[in-house]
Amino acid sequence: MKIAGVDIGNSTTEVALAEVSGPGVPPRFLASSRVPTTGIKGTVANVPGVRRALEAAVEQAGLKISAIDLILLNEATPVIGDIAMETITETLITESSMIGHNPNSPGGLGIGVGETTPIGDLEVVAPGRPVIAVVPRAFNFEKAAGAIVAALERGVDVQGAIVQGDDGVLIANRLPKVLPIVDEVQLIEQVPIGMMAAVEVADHGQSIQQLSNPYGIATLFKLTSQETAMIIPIAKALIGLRSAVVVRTPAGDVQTRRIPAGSLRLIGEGQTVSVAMDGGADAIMDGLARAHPLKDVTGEPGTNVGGMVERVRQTMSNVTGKPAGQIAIRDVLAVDCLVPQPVAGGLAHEYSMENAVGLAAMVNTDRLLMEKLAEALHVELGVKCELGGVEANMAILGTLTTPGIDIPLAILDLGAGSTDAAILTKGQPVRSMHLAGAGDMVTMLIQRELDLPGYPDSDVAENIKRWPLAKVESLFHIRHEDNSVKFFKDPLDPRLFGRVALITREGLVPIPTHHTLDRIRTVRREAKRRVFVRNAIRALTAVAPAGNIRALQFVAVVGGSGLDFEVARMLTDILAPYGIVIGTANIRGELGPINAVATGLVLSRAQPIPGANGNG
Amino acid sequence: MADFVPTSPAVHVALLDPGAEALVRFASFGAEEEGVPIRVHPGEEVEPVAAAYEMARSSTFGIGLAIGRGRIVLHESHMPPERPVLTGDLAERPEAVARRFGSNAARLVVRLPFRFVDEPEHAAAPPPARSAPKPAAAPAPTASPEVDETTIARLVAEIVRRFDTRGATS
Repeated sequence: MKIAGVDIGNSTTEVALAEVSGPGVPPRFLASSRVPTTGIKGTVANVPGVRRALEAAVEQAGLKISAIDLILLNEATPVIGDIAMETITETLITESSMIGHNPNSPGGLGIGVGETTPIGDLEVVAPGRPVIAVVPRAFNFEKAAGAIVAALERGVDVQGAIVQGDDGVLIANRLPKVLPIVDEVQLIEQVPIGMMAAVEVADHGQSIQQLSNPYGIATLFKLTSQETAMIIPIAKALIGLRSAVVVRTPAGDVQTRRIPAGSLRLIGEGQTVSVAMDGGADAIMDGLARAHPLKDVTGEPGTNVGGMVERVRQTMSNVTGKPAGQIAIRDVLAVDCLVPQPVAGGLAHEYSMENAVGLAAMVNTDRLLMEKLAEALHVELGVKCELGGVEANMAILGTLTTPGIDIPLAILDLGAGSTDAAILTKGQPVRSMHLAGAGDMVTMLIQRELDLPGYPDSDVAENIKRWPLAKVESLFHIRHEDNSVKFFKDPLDPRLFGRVALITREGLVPIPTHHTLDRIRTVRREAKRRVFVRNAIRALTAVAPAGNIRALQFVAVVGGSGLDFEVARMLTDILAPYGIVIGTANIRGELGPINAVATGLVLSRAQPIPGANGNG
Repeated sequence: MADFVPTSPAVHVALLDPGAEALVRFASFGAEEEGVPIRVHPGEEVEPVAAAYEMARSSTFGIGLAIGRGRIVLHESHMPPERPVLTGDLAERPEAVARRFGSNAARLVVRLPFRFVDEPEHAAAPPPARSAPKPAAAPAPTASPEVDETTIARLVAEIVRRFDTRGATS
C-alpha cells in the first residue's frame, strides 16, 4: 500500500511518500516534498498546505492523490510559539533641542557656539555677535556661502551652520575660514531660532568629542550640575556620530524615561517566582530555573510585560479556539537586546539605542486539535487519514536513517516557533522536550536590532538570517564575510554598487540599510547564539540522562534550521568540548536534515522503534 | 602609452554640447560635496557613451562623464565600451540631474552606493517616522497619474487594516 507521512511544522509541511509492503519489509520511498505551512501548526488552516505538499509528492512519483491509501499525520501536541519585544527605556525630547546624525558629508571641522540665526537675517546681525547660520534648502550653497562670507567680513562672528540640503562641503569650501557645518537636516524649519546652539563636526574617520561628553556640553553652555545631569541622554545619543548640533531651549529637557516594565510571574508546580523585567533576560531565565517545572506565566497588569504576555495568550486563544483563561504558557525564553528607537522630537531622524527584552513564549495545545485536522483532511482529500505517532519518536526513527548514526541518539530540532529535543537510549522510552524560542525569534532580533522593516512588509530580516553577506566593492567584485574576494566577468548591476548584499540562490540581493557588513554579521550571529545555541543547551540538558549533557553521545540537528549555514558549526564549537558527536542529520542518506518526521511516520508502519519499549 | 602625462587623479568630463557648460559646473558641485576632484578633459569622441568611455580610459580613477545634448552618461574603464554604468536624461531639471551624476561619479570613487533619485526640492512635508509602515509603497500606481476613487478607497482601507493589525503582532 502507498503511505504518505505528513509532518506539519511551524513553517514547513513535509511529505514522505512510500510503498509499504508490510511489517518487517523496508519501505520503498517514492517521493518527498516540502512546502510552506499554511496557517498556524495544528489548525484546520493547515489543510491547503498539506494538499500542496501531497500534490508535489505524487507528481514526482507520477501518481494522483487518490492513489494514496493512507495519510499519517504527526501526532504533535502542537507547540505554538509567539514572540514579543518591549523596550524598557526610551529617550524623549520634549522640546526639540538636539540634532545628531551622520550625514554622508558634513562640511568643515571643529566646534562652534552661537545664537541660531536664519541665513537671510545675517546681514542685520551686529558685528562681534556669535551666531550659527540656519540655511533652508531654498538658499543654494553659493548664496549661503556668499551671505556667510559677507557677514564674516562685517565682523559678525559666524561660528557654524546648520544646513537642510546636502551642501555642507560645498559651503565649507567657499568660506575664508574653517567652520563646522552640519547638513542634511531635514526638518530645518523646526530648529528653534534665537537660541544658543553648539555645532560640532569631527574629522574624517573620527567621531565628535565635545557634544558626546556631558561635561563638554556643560562647558559650552555654562550649565549647573543639575542641568548637566539633565543632558546626559543627549550626550549618550550623540556618541559615535561625526556631526551634531545641540540647541539649548529654555524649556528643553531631554530625559531617559524608564517605562514601567513591570514584572513577570513565573508560576511553577512547586513555587511561584516574580521577576522584574528591568533586571534583564538573565534574571528572567534564573527565575525560570527556580520555578521549574513551569505551569503558567503571567505579567503584571497595566505594564508593558503584562500587555506582552496577554497578547501572546490572546494569539494562542484565537488560534486554538480555547478561552484565553485556559491557555497555559509552558516555557519562555528571554533575550536582552539593544534596539534603535526614534528619538521623540528629533530633527534629522535621530535614534538612540534603548534596552529591550525579547520574549518568546510557548503553549502546549491538545491532541484534539490534530484529530480535527485529520478529519478535515479526510473530508478534503477523500483519503484515509490517521494520527501516526508521537512527533519526537517519529523524528528519532527518521533520523536513524542517517549513515554513521547510532543510539543513544539525541536529536535537536531548531524550528521556527520552538526548539525541540528528544533522546532515545536502549531500553528506555523516547524522552522529549519543547522549548520556547527558535528561528522566528532570531528573525525578530535581527529585525529590531537593525531597525529593518518588519514582516509582512518585508522579509529582509528573514533573508539576513538565511544567507551569507558580501560587500559589493566595485562593479566587478565582491568581498565575502571572510574577506575573500570574488571577481565577476560581467559587470554587476549598478544598484548593487557600494552596498552590502545577500548571496542568495537567486544571486546578489542588496540590503536596504546603511549598516556595515560587520554590524549586520555581528547582530545575526549574536541573535543565533542567544536563541539557537542557548536553547540547544537548555533542551539537551533537559533530555540528557540525569540532566548531564556529557552523557549524550550522538546529537543530530534536524529540521529546517539544519540547513542554516552557520548554526551547526556554532553548536559544534560549543558542544565539542563535552565529547559529543554533533552534526547535521542526513535523512535516508540523501535528504539532509529535512523530512525526518515524515520519513519516521512511514517507517513506523514497517518496523518498530529499535530499543524502545512501547512509546513514551 | 608613450605620451603618458602624469596628471592628478580626477573624474574626467567631456562636454559635447557647448551650450551645456553650466551643467559641468553642477556636475562638479556634486563631486565636490563628496570630496572628489573633477576636470573637463579634451577628447575626440562625439557620441555620449563613447565619449564617456574615452574619459574613463583617460582618468586615473577610471571614471568618466559625458554631457551631451539632452543626455548625460557615467562610464567606468573596466566596463564594456557599449555598456555605460548609468545614463540620464537632461530634459527635465538638468542641473539637478547633472549634480546627481557628478555625485555618483564621485561615489564610484569613494565606494558609496549610487543615488538614483534627487533630493526633494522642498522638504516641506516631513517624511514619515522611521518605524511607520509604508504599505502604500507597493500597490501605489506609479504608471498612471490618474487614480480613480475606488482605488484610493481600497488603499486607505488596506492601510488602516495594516495599522490595526500591526500593533497586535509586533
